[in-house]
Amino acid sequence: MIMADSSPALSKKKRLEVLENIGKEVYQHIEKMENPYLTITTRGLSNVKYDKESRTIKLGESVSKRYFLNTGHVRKFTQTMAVAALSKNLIENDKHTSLRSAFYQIRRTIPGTKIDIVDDQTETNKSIEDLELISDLTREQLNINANKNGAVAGEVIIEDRGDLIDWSKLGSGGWAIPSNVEDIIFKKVDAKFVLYFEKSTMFERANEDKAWKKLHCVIISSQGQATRGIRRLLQRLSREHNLPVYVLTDADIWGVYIYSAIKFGSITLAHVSDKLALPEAKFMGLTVEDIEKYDLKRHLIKFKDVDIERMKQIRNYDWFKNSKEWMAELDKMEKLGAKVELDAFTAKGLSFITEKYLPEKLKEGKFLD
Amino acid sequence: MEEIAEELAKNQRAISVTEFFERNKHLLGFDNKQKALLVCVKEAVDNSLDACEELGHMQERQKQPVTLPEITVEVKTTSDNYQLLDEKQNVAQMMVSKSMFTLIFEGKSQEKQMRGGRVSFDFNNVRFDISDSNDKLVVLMNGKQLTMRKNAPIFLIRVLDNGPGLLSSKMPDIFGRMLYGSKFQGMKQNRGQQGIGIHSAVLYAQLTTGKPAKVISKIKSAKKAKMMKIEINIAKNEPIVVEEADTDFPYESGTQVELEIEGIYVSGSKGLDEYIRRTALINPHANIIYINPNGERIVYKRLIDKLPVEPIPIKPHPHGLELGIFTRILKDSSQRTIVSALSEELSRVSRPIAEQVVKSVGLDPKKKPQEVSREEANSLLKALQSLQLMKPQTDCLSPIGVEELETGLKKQFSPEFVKAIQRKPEVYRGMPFQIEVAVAYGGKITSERATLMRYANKIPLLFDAASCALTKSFTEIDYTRYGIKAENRIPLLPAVFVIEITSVWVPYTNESKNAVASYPAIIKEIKLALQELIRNLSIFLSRKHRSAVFQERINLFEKYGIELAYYLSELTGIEEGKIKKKIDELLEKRKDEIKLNVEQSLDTSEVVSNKVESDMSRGKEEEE
Repeated sequence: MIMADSSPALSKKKRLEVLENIGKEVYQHIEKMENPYLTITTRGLSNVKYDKESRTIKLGESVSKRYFLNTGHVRKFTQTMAVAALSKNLIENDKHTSLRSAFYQIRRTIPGTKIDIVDDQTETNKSIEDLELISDLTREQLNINANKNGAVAGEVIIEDRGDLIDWSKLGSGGWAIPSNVEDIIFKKVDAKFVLYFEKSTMFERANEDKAWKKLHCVIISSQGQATRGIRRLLQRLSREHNLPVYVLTDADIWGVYIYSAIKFGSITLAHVSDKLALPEAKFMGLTVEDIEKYDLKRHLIKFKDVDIERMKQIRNYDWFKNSKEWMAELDKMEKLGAKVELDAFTAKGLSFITEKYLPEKLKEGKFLD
Repeated sequence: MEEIAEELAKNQRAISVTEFFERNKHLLGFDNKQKALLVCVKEAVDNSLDACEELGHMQERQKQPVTLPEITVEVKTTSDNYQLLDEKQNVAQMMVSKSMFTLIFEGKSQEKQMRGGRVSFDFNNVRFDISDSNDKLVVLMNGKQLTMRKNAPIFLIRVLDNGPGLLSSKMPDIFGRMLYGSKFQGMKQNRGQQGIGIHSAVLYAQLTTGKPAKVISKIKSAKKAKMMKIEINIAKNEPIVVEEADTDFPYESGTQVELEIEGIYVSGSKGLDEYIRRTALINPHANIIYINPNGERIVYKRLIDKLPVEPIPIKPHPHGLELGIFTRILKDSSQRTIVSALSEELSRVSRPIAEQVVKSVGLDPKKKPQEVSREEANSLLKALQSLQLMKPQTDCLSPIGVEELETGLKKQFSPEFVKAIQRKPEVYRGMPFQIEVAVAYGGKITSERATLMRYANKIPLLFDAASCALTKSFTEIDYTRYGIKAENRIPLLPAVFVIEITSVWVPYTNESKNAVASYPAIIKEIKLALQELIRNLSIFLSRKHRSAVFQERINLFEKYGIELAYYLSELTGIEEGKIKKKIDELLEKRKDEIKLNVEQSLDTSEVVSNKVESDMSRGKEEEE
């Protein structure tokens, strides 16, 4: 099941071969005077299933063919080939590019027309995801990275492209997590667990309080959904160093889904769940019980229609539907009809969360799974 | 006209013809000067076309070579036109053409040349002195200065034809006697029947400019043509020939009419140019030369060397008769008894039926038809109309013809698509009629909205569109059902539609004869014709659309093909040019399949890209 820690991943030669073969196959269609096509596994809720054994979301069997001679397909077909060509070029030259730059590198106007190959970055982003499915290579293996997002701090020393970096000596900002963490090497890991915050403001609070030192842990945050880089880093810390991972989010349905994506994988990236999902992750809070216990009721924000709508969807996901624990928590949340943000703790004193809440929760040791 | 004739006959003693004309000029189409110019030209042109066709049909019957119509229409401004006012009171009219001055005072007109900047007129002790100093005219009436107000200009209308010509003995009556020839002479489809009569135009000319009509006519057997200047003695309704001479003529036979009238020339859809254009369109067998007031010479060449079928006169059918006509039929009848008059003068009335009807209203079957009173005639007519009679014969009509319509439209508009439909003759209220419709799409037609050209018996109808059955039928079609966009029920297409009604008796809504009355039978026929026409147009439009979509798709694949070749070359190392050639080959080879896809996608109006989107749909949540 676990294959991704075999870093460095597939050899350069092998990856180039994969891309070349995609091109050759299309050319063979043309030579045979067939309508050229690409076979892509269908993405979306309709084609993901929850794999009970691995406790992750997996992509189903359903595939669709994308044809060149189809007015609805031709643009995406061409875009996917453009991304493949770009990626081949990058790998050959040992260069990496960002999602944004990839957009600019591909973008061009077809001579003699007003048609641009891509109009905005969402088109290249999707083509890159398609190429991942076609080639069975990850975006990182295609030498395309996302922007940096998220930070980490703790008593850990790593080596990244020959530089030694001590996560405990990076001041208030912490180490900015790159989108590709495949090639970093852990030199020293001195921590008992990993704490993930949904909010960067909470990370900053905990970092200022040197909570990682007091609690003997690694703290990580993103802003909103955890990026691939963060999820891969969480997975590597957990798997390679046996650290439990605790997730701390707002007490609302969106927070629950951030936890869900870290733990089970996400619907859109179901094809890379192996490398990103972390079924061992645990949900620390905020729970509805925490709201009672820490007297946060006066900071309630009433649910909006979108919150209720999202709640309904998540209740229907297989990976929640079969968990009594979670259904009970969602019931409570729905009954409350309101949410509380992590930031509400600051009303009780700046360091309440690090000095009171976290130690108590850890001591209690009761986590939602 | 018949009703007016009766009216006139009744009131002849009470009021003068002039007064009658003044009172009814809105009915006759002289209510505004723009329309007046058109009506006068129309009267002369209609007469010319009718005359030419009559000659041709006569030659056909006598197996002689057929003369086809040659019509010249010239309209030009001749004079400035002033009203002369004394203390805001209108006293006289003055027309100035270079140095020629015409003065109309109390219904009399005089014409004089200005010499040395002065000219004087004398009308029974009323003296007018006109002087021109530094290009400014001063008019004195008995020494008192008058105010001058500029009026609509004076136009000279000249219409020349190569018809049979007129006997010089008939010329004065034809042009100079109101309602001459309105004696009932059976029913035959022609243009003249539609009009108000050339004599009305002559009278209008006389009333607005004081000028007589100048007529030149030559018959084949005469060596010289006869020129006459004809006026109408308004009080007596009699022609006066003010001048007469022998002269030359450009054709073996024919007639030329010149009228001088007050008028306004406009361009656009209700103007003279458009009237001539539409006349030419519907008469492709005529050569029409038109010189407009701007001096532009427009030639509509003959497109078809064949006369339209000769219309056959028929006897009136009781179901379509009006009392006025019926009484006149009885009065004019040469039959000796009422029974024989009914069976001989009317269509589908046999002798037994006539006897039965006469008996049923309690009349003596031997009574002379001329002695039947108006009341008796009324009961007779009612009895006749309550009977189920056979429909009238319908072979009396002379429609334009599908080929003629299409040829005319092709020539004028060079359209992408043209189609004409002719319906079989039908009957409304005892009157046979026939509908023809046509459409021209694209070419020189660039308007966003379609134009409707209405015709009745080959005469263009330019006014009163809103109250016309032709317009009504046209706007009652649901164009969107045929996949044609419409706004206010007018198709949004660069197209010209033609609707023509041919009948021995076109039912107009009023005497200005610009709108056809909405009889259900007529509307039904027009709609059936239009529906068939629009089905044809719709098929053409969807084919055109398909081929455009197909071309678009081929272009699209070609363009993306350029890119694909480049990327494949990058991926595989195969030469880009070679790949491009293969892709072009592929497109050529799979052309039919692409075409078929276009057909299918347009047939089911399914949007291809939507379907794909759902195949490729993604979850709502998205990282980064």
